[in-house]
Amino acid sequence: MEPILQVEDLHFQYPDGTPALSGVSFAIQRGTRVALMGPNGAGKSTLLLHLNAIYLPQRGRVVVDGLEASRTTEEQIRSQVGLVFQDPDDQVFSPTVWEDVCFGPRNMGLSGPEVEARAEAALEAVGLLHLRSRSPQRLSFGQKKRAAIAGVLAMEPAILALDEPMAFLDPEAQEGLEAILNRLHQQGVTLLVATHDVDWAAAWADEIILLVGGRILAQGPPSLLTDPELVRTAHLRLPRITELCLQFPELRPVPYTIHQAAAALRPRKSGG
Amino acid sequence: MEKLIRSVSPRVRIGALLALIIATSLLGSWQMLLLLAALGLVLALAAGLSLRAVLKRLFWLLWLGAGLLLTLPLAVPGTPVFQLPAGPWTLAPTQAGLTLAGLLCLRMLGCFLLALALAASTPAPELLEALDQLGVPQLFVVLAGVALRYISVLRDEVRRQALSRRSRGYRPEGSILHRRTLRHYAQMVGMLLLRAYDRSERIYWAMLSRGYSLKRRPVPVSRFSSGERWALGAALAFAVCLVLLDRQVMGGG
Repeated sequence: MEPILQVEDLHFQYPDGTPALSGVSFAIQRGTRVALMGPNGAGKSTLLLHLNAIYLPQRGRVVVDGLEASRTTEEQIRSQVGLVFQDPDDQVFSPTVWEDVCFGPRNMGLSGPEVEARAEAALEAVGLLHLRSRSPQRLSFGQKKRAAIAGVLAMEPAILALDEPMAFLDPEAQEGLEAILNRLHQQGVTLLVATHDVDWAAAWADEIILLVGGRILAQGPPSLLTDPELVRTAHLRLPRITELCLQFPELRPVPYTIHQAAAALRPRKSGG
Repeated sequence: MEKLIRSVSPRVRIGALLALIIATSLLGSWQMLLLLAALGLVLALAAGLSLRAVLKRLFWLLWLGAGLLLTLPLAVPGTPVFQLPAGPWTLAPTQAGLTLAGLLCLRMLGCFLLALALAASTPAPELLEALDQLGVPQLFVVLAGVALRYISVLRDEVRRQALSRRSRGYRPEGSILHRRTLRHYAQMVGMLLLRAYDRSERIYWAMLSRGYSLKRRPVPVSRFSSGERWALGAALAFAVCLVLLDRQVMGGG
């Protein structure tokens, strides 16, 4: 199957000469949930900016659904890859929620009724339709985050890339956001989430990409996160449940979610 | 009255305000200027502002007016009204200077009250949309919208910085002119500028990521309806009448 996103030998350095990405290569299949993980300064945000053609490759290629990112294709790429920034105050810049959600579809040159239909559907999807007339400064942080997602969803992207979406959210808002992401996944949207949260990534993602020092350290299933050596090299930590299960040599393969651990422990409990 | 004002489309309100502001700058008689200022006050009150809110906003204008009243009479040549010895100098405010300062203050007051009426009757998003519909350059409209949106964000950043300083034992010493206090404020403003610069770059990326480009106009400019044309025509006619009446009053005086 043709991947929806391909990054090949991507290099990027900032104007002051600081290298951010050094030969990054990976591919993502359509409809998957991918967690991009790595320590601060690993290049995650810079990589996300490349996927949306805000930054263009200095060397290498970024191909979105068969379209290579370049000056001439950047607008098409931006309608294919929706990017949700870490701080919603950076992203929700219009005077009202409604205006902000309409911003992307209007830039796509859609007709008035189509813009309104998309904005309404996007706000409905994140549960903010009742706050459409509200000024962003009067929203809670979690609501601003959802408004930022609605602004991107209204463009109906095939890929949604989110930079630290769970950061600074309370547990209830995190659950709400995860439910939104899961609904989008069911609708066939490919999701790429940059995060430090190993517990969440292990339980949520279909695939993990580990990025360290501007290089891909590993790509594979979430079970990657049960390898202590790999996780240490990535400057991350093991999922809490894995840390616990590693204490019991009989629990192999090592569980990395609560459900897996429960399934592994249940027969022992009933047997004992 | 409030309903009547809000029934007029925002772009007509902007057009009418511009016509009246231009008329204000052409008026020369204090009677007409007072009349226009009174009209502005009535409109501002009718738009839902309380008298207290109007006076509160006027407070900042007073400083500018006081500056004009204090300096212009001394700068404009003419017959001195009185002479005041001030050390080696003699202050001699002139009649022409006082008249000019009074005239400018009244013009300023009229324009301010009319603009206040517009702002009170038109929420910011409607105002921006109306400016866009009037064909105002998109860059200006976007900048105005972003500035409105981020005032509160900047205010929150100032609050957080002040809180952070206080939490680490900082207390302002004396007045703002105290060296240490002044240095702290300078650092705060500098930090605010740096953060605003970084944020502006991120906001621009966020705009680009959703297909923003100055090359295209997202909202098509619609033609004025016949009702809007009539309302705008009436406002223009009123402004012209004011100027003509002013000429009569000035000629009579």
